[in-house]
Amino acid sequence: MGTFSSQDIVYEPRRLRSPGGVTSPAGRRLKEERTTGLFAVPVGAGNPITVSLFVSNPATQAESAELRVRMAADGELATVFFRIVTVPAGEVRKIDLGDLAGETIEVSLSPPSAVLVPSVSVWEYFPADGGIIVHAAKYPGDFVIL
Amino acid sequence: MATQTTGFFTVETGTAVIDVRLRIFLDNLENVAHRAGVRVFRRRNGSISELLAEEVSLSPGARRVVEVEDVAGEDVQVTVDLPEREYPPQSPVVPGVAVVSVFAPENEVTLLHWISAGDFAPAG
Repeated sequence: MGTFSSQDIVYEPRRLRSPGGVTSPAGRRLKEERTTGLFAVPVGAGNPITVSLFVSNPATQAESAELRVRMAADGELATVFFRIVTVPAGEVRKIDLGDLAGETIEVSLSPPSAVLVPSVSVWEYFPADGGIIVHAAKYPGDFVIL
Repeated sequence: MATQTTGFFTVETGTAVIDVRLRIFLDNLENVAHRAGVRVFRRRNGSISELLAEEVSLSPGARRVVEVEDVAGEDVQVTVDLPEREYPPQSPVVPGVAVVSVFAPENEVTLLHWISAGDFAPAG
């Protein structure tokens, strides 16, 4: 026959640690967006580089979402573009951004549940013959939900 | 049917002897016939127009390729309507899009970009 001693059991709320080192009792869900993650915008052959953001709406009514571009600089992310885009049913919005050649950026759309379809094309314009070369593209399946 | 889309993307320009085209692939992985729909949209001067709308019959195990010309330098979107399946949840028809350049004198084809089935997103 063994001897058992009783002891009060104390239940402590479980505390989660966020990647930033700050505890978050509400959980680890820090963002609500669809994002490409960081990618490098090429310099190309020295001609103008354009980052084209497309947001199309396959739904039957107008939809809105926040479109944001962040740039990595000095170990931090700085927002270089932000706009609330409203896209009528069956339409598309295109936003061209310059001055990002050689930078590391991410493109995100919020909220992630929006039916809007985001995509990105990075292209170089050759003034001599009016030609276009596409250096990179992010299709809707490349966006991940955070 | 489940609708999936590539979203809009920019297509390279060609030259006098190099044409840039889309080749839209539809693979039927099952041993039963299926049907699928393909639509291609172009955005020019802020408005969208439909370049192609086609329904495709796919015999068991077959692959169909839909080629689209006059897209060089344009912003286009490919949308496909695929048959649905309860389990496994993936469609038995797998889409893909190749952006190719065709050098006419030698009929030489070069792959510029490949948009895989995983790059498509549900639409609507």
